[in-house]
Amino acid sequence: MKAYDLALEVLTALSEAKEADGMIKVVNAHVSGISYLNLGDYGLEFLEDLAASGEKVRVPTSSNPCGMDRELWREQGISEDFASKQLRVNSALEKLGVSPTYSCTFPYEGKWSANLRPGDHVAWAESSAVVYGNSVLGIRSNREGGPSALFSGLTGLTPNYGMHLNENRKPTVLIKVEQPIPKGPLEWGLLGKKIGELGELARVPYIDGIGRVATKGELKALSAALATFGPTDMFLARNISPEAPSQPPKVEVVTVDGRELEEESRSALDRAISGGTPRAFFLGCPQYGVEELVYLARLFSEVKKVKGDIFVYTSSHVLSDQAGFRAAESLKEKGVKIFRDTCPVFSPAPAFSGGVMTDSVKSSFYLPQSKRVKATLEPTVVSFMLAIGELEGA
Amino acid sequence: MVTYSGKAIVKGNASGEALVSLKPISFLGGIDPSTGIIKDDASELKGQTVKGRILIYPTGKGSTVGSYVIYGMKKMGTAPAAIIMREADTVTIVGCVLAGIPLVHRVRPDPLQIRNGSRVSVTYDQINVDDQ
Repeated sequence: MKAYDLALEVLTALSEAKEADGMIKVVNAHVSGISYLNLGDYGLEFLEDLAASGEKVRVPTSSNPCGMDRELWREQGISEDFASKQLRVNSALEKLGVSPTYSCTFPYEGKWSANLRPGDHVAWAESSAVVYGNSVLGIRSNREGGPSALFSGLTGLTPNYGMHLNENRKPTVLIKVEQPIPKGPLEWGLLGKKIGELGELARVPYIDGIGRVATKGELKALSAALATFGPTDMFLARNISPEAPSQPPKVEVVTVDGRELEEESRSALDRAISGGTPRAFFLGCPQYGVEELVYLARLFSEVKKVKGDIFVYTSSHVLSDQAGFRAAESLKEKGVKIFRDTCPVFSPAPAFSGGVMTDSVKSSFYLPQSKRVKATLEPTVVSFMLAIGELEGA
Repeated sequence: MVTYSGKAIVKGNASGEALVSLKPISFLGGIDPSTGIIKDDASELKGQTVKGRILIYPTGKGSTVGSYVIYGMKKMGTAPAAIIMREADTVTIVGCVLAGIPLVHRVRPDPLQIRNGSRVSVTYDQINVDDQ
């Protein structure tokens, strides 16, 4: 199998089918669909066949989370069999020259992102990263599939259509967010869900009334929810998006009441406290960055020991940062479980048999699908745990 | 004999019995790759095999890893002989190129009106259906 030739053949077919304006060069690529849980033996064999060509990617190519923490998989309860298959997937990818980042946030948080400029074309196969990148960094990416992103890495090319073209990056709807401005990842995720559910209208929403107040974690939650619930590959917001027009566009207007988001999030907390509450908490979808990890560590500064199971998912690039590393160490001392390289949606572990709570609107959609577990939303894991006495105060 | 025509994405020749799904198909999870038997509970074709058939469906759905499943099915001999669609999705396009399975889309008239079990032959972008 000749990797480059095959990759070019696939991209050419895609380009013809999508009636693209030829092919354009990409600066980098980000491959998904690499957990053995999804790939199975067919995907594993394909990647090994491809790697046997001895060819390598022609542009820097990063990788999405795989099925386990490469160091702590035994602690995660992953079987030897699964681990050996996952390691074969990883080694095939690494033989192809794919960087072992195993992160869903690396494209916009990792070290390559510093060199990205608005207008750069990339081929990313993680939908939350595609929305974040198009909207906040001003890069241009379609929502690629795992294989097509890999083929873009191998050729340095992508079909020129969709989000690569100016005409598809213009606002299609004006979302007016009325006071109060949403707070925290859950409320921002709920905002993304509301917008995404508008369907076709929400292709490129211009969001008015949120500028300059959003944290990175909130923008990640918004991006992830937009991609999960809608056709949205990009939003526009003043002071956030390089391409946002300074005046709200003259398009259809949809109003979102900030109080509704607040109430929805508060009632989720009430339901969680009164209901048969799961004792497992999952944070880090998208995977936590330095900012969110440090924030969590600060929230936990008065806490001596965590009683319930708290799982936090993050990335290698976060733990190799000094502040990220220190925050992770202090959380671990209190009993918080921190994993990298993976996430519960892509991994057989943890099974969350008693249900799970999360502040991620995206994973509240995917976890019930992939693991058939109930995922309850709650606003701040800490307020919830205090309410049910899961934290031992100082 | 009825003739349909469309746009060939993967060009080739094939013939076989039609298997028509009115619903989108997911190759990851929707089909058992070792036998080619459809196992999606939501499918009206559950229990039938795609192996060697001319598989006709509106469009694809589900994980993009499905492309590798199509490739794996070809290797094991359980893949369809050709695929005909209203509008091809990325998963099916990538899978068919990898596997070398003829793929035609944007077919007129609507290919979903082809009857299950009809003899179908695909020659590039031409589709002949023998309904007898």
